[in-house]
Amino acid sequence: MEYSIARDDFQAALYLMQGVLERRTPVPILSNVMITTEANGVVITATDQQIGVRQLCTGRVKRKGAATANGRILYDIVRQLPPGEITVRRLDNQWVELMSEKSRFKVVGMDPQEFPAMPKMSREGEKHAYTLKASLLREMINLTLFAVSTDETRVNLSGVFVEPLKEKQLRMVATDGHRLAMITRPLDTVPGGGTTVILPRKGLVEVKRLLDGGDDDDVVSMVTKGNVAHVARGAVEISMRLLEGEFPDYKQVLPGAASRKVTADIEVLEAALRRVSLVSSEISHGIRVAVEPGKLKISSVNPDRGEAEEEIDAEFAGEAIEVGFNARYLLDVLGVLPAGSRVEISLSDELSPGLLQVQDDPDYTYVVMPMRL
Amino acid sequence: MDEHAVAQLWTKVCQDLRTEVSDDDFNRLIAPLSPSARGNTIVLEAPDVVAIESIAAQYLLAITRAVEKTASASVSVQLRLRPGAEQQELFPPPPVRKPPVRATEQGHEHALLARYTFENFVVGASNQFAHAACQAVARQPGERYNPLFIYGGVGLGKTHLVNAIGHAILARNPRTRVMYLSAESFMNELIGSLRKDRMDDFKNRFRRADVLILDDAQFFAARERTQEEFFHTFNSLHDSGRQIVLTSDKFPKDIPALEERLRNRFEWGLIADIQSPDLETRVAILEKKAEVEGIDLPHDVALFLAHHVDSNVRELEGSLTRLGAFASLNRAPLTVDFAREVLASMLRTARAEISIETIQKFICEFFDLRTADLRSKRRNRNITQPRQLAMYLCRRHTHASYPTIGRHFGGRDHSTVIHAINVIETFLREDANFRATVERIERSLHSLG
Repeated sequence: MEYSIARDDFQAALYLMQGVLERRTPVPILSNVMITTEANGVVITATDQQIGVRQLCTGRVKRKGAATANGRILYDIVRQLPPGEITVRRLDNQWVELMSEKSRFKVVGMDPQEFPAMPKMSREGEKHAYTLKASLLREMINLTLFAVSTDETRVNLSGVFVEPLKEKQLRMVATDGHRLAMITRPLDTVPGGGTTVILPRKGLVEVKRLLDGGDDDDVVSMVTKGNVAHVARGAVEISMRLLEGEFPDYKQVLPGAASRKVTADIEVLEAALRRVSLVSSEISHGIRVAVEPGKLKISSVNPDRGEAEEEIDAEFAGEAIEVGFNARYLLDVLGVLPAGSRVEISLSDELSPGLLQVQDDPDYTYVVMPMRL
Repeated sequence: MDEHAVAQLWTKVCQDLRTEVSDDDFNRLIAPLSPSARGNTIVLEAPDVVAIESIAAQYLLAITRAVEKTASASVSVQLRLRPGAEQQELFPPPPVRKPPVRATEQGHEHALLARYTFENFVVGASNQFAHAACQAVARQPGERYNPLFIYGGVGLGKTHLVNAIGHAILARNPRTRVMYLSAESFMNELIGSLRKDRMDDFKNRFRRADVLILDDAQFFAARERTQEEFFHTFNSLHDSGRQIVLTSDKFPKDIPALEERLRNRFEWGLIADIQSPDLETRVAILEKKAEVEGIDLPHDVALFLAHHVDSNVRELEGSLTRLGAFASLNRAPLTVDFAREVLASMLRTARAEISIETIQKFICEFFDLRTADLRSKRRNRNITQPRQLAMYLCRRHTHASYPTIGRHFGGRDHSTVIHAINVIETFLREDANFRATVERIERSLHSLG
């Protein structure tokens, strides 16, 4: 196998692979990327067997074939090479040779036959295809991904729930058992009803990486069938095995009408929370949120670290109350809300979930359970 | 130790530590600790997990040494999280369903090992007590000792005994649901069920048992989720009078990173230990096995084997099997000379095995101490650490049991030995230099032949 490719193209492709490559793995080939020549370019892939990234790059193919080599090393080398053409060649011992103007590298490689297959769609199962703008998908992911559980034992919470809610409405929900984020957006290609799927967190992290590097108006296709989903933008396709298990009945935990609603400026609230949580426990991050007419007070008392208290202006008319929360859960959501907007927080009592919504956007809902401090 | 004594001890320990630890670190990590005592353990409550990890990584050894120096008895040090803020859950866990009324099912899968019955278990002084306890449980499951905790070293017959309980119960009442599995299998099943989202199946499966026999419970160490699940399983069974039997190579209190509430439960019933069999019992074991296997074993050969293979029952029986195989291959009768020849290689390895004395001598040379120092009660830092290291090496490179090792180090308790090993293992994990030194020592020990 031999081909030439522009450094920038090669670098961009290898960059996208880095998130999937396993650094420490009992299966060494999973640290490798696979390079396969096609008609007028090369396909570069990486996989950890749960998710896979595949990119088609333009290049001049001199000799057909395939090769695999350590993806991290390749990326590090290519990144440091001067711009220009790089020739990539597979050697007899499976190693991969990179040649640029004056440098030559040989990177440890393995037999491409050993490279595992990317997650592939099965023949059975209902197929769903959505087409959406990169900006929309990116927004929906940003608003939910952070709330996904990082606890490996809670498999059914370790991804984002995607639901074709009703005709032309797509909903995504994520929760880790303590807080829940839900976004619903209009989308033409959504049928009324259909199979719901749970997209794995790691896969969505790669999708986010992909979308961050492109144009808002790029068209993204998301296809799910059986237990695999493909998300593609341009020449890049990310495949992921869907999570098994049932997503909890999230509708049950959405709080009903609350007795208290306080509205505050997102940036001001976020800054205050950030400051006060500096002295909160490094494990529980507990802080108290107290609302009283006209103001919102955030405080933290920690015998081992210190005390903090801050007051901000807020719209509130009602009975005062103080509820404890994990500051992180609040900062997480405030960080993804549009700056310059205001947030509406609904509270009932010290042990009931709090509800956050962006003023004038009823389509986003964030529910967070309090802490008993 | 009462509260006052603990406070005094801790004050002195802090004084010592101030000379070793930077002011910053002392104020940040040591000062916030709240000491209390539980038996021979000083429990230090830290405000959060990050603190615990920092202390464990850098100062646990120093704290332990300081405590040992000041305390008048052999004490161990344990770090714990102070109970704090409680995060509420969005989805409350489903209520534990009571196990359904037992259906009359025959032949419920039990996974017991067929060859381990009371009939072919050889009773001797070393296992008499455990044997009696097991028989009592087999006669009246759920009514005598619940749980029954069998403790003993490797290859001494724990698995045999607890399987025998299962067989005996089934013999009396075939419809009993007996379940036998290792703690590791329990964990694997848990992970599998979590992955497939079949937790209800998992819970029902175990909580339906009438008798649950869990082997190698020490495997639960530091496995929080598994411990959590087993805790619920335990409660469910125990509350409804179902029998639980556990085995382990450590006492409950010596299993590291075992939740308090689980440790307590392990200690609720009876703890019976099995020790290494004495010569007479070893002979009896060999003769019994020879009978079962159809090997013609003369008494003098049995004696010879029993003399030379004194580590554990598994090795003992293994030597007989090997001997029998050679004899039938060569069509030769078993004699002492034949045994000596066939097992020469095996025995040679045993003899070449490093002895406790060798290790002690080596450590003394390496650290410039006298053997008497290792055995003494002195607690200077420059004696304690080599002593702990020596104990660790003894455990790793000899077949000696904890009590035996303890005896060789000035009559120390086996729990001291376990503690020393934990301390060294922590240090090995955290300090690469120390790790390299120990590896060097181990290499030299082996080349001594």
